[in-house]
Amino acid sequence: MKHKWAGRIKPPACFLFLLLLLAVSARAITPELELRRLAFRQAALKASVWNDPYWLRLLYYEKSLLGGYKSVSTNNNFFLSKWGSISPKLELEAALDGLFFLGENDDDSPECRFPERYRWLRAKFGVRESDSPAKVCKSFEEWKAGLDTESVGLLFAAGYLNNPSTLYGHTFLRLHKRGAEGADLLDYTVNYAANAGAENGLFFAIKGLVGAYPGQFSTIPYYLKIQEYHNIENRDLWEFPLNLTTEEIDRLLRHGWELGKASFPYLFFTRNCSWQLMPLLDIVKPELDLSRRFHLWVIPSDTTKAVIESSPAAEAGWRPSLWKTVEWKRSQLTEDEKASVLELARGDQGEELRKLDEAIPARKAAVLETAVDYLSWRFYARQIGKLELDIRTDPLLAERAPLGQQVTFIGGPERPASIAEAHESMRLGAGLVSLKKGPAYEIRGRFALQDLLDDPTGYLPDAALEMGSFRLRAEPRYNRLYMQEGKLVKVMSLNPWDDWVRRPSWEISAGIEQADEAGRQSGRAAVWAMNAGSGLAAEVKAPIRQVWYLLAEADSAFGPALDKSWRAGAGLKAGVTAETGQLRTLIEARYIGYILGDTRPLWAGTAAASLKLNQNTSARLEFAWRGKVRELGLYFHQFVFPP
Amino acid sequence: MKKVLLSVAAVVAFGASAFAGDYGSAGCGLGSLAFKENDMTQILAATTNGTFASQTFGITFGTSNCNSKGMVKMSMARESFIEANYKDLSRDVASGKGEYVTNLAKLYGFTPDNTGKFTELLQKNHGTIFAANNAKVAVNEINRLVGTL
Repeated sequence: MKHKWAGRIKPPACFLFLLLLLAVSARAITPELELRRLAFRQAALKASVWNDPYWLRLLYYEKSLLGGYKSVSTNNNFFLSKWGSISPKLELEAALDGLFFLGENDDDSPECRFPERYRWLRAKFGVRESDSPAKVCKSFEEWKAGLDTESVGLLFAAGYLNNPSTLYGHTFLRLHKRGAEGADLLDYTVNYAANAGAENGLFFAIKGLVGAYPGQFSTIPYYLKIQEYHNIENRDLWEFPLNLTTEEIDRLLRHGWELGKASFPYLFFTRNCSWQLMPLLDIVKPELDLSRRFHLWVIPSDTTKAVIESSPAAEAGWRPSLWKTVEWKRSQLTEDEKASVLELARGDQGEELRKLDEAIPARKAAVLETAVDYLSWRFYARQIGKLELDIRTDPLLAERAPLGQQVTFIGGPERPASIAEAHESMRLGAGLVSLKKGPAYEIRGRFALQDLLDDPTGYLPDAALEMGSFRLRAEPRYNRLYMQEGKLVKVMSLNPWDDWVRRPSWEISAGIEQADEAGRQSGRAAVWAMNAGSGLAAEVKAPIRQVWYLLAEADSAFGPALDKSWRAGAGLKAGVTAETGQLRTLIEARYIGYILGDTRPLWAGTAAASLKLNQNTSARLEFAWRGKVRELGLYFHQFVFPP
Repeated sequence: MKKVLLSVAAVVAFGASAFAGDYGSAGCGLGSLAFKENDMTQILAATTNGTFASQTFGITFGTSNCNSKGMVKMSMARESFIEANYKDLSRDVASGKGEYVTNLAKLYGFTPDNTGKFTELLQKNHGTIFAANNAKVAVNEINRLVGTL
């Protein structure tokens, strides 16, 4: 066979072929090396090295239901063996064989593609230089030198209610460049994200829930992440130092290089942007042991809290959102100057610029700078387009530049409490309820995250963000156990009216509730209700801080308790929250008239007070009415880290 | 069950709105970060054309500013920075202070001691650099000005 084949090669080709053979054989495997290779394989066999937890971790193996292993990575480039994704043993053997790489270019060697695996293999098997000379990984070293990492921080972009996909925030790593001397925008980040296609809406959500999108790691310049979170989404960015040693940073980079070849199924609730950082950090610093703490769902604020708890205390970094910067600058201006900013940004700019000429240069500069920032915020908040941004901003900058150096603003916005001081995300509770016809006992739970009465420290103020909350009630009088409420979701965003912002307040909610107004026995009127509202809120600062709100509501419900089994209508909701010290109160009432289906109106409300006992504990007294039913309940709430 | 419940919640609540898991990844490439009018999610996302064949850590951006490792090419670092941060830079240059101008100074090899000179030079020439509202013009002008120092 071989002769026949060789015989068919014409002389010049034959010569080339020989040359190629020579080139390859320049690094041929010798009998001694072959013996070493077999010896490594035997040693691996004897000690079942593939069961080593670090090996399993490095390749993201998880036990499958049938007792075997399967790697989470769906990209075959992440493995050396054809069966690497399901066999830690074959993958380890392939890796050992890879030590005897014969190619000319070290960069192509398995070792240069998977530097952390081979660092571990070499140490574990005591590989000598004579067995396998150390490889020169040019590409990897260049990449590492480009990142030139001195320290690493965990970045947490706070929650943001105006984009449903990032309600709960986002986390990523930041690699601090050596000797940045304040030029820290030039750092890189390590970011895990889904490579979503062009789909939007429902289809997108479903694909995201079943893991149809591959998630991948990438190194995005820090300045782009700032554009995204600080500018476009107007969020605060927090940074918590990870205190990694030089060796740990090297491990992060070596393994990061490997991760470039991996992709994982991206699942919105579990294997999301925040989760995938946990196994990565566990590899870098095994004592953190983070991934073990997450099971059913993963919220960025929880992963951040877990990392903070596992790291030595260090001062967090904080970058205020664009709006907070504008608001702070505004607070340093006089009333006339504030009016001037508004005129420059929204009114007759030419006329206002002429008037400004009379101001002293420093004050003029302050007004111009605030107006530019405000316009920038307006653009990102989608209040103006790019064209108007340019037309309005350019003349202001042209006026500002000739003023030269001016002292305009000193200091910065006031730093809020960090997520470290926030309560845990999940809430459990128990309560005693007094109804007209006797007592009831209640068990309640909520997977995440806050309502208007929970202490918002570390989270968003004036907001409710509830997912999966339920209230189970036992009423001895009827010997009945029923679901008083089962909210799938409720989001409420109160934005106290500000002429600079002009943002409405809104809410949406969907879930099961008891339609007491239908006149049934308690627990017999469950309906599926959905509503949405939009309106205005106003803040009053004295004598204690209050937020008043009025929303126009659209409401619908479905259930056998209703005539025709459904209804749809509209109405009003009004409320006020107030806070002082550890006490928060909420009074809220709504009236909905129904025009379709069951047309009996809904008149309901609540008056409640919550007393914070400590970071994770509170007591709540709540009076509520709905239809003809009145109740008074006393509840005890405990916040816990999700199981 | 909990997961199922939560999943249904998300679908019910956000069915109609964009449920973008993240903006994907974007970055390198002069001309790639075009600011589209009032189209926020596109600003950072629309650069990669779906070429996500990661040979190495990071993303092969497939545009001229990036090397195969998903990092901004050294030779294009200034251009990428100026383009991606154009508005912030323009503001900081006009004010003669701020982190965007300090970072650019660093990219041009200035140290904290002589960054002031760089800042002042740019502030004095704000008009010629930024009036065209064009990143390429800004890059050329800054290069020319730095050459005069």
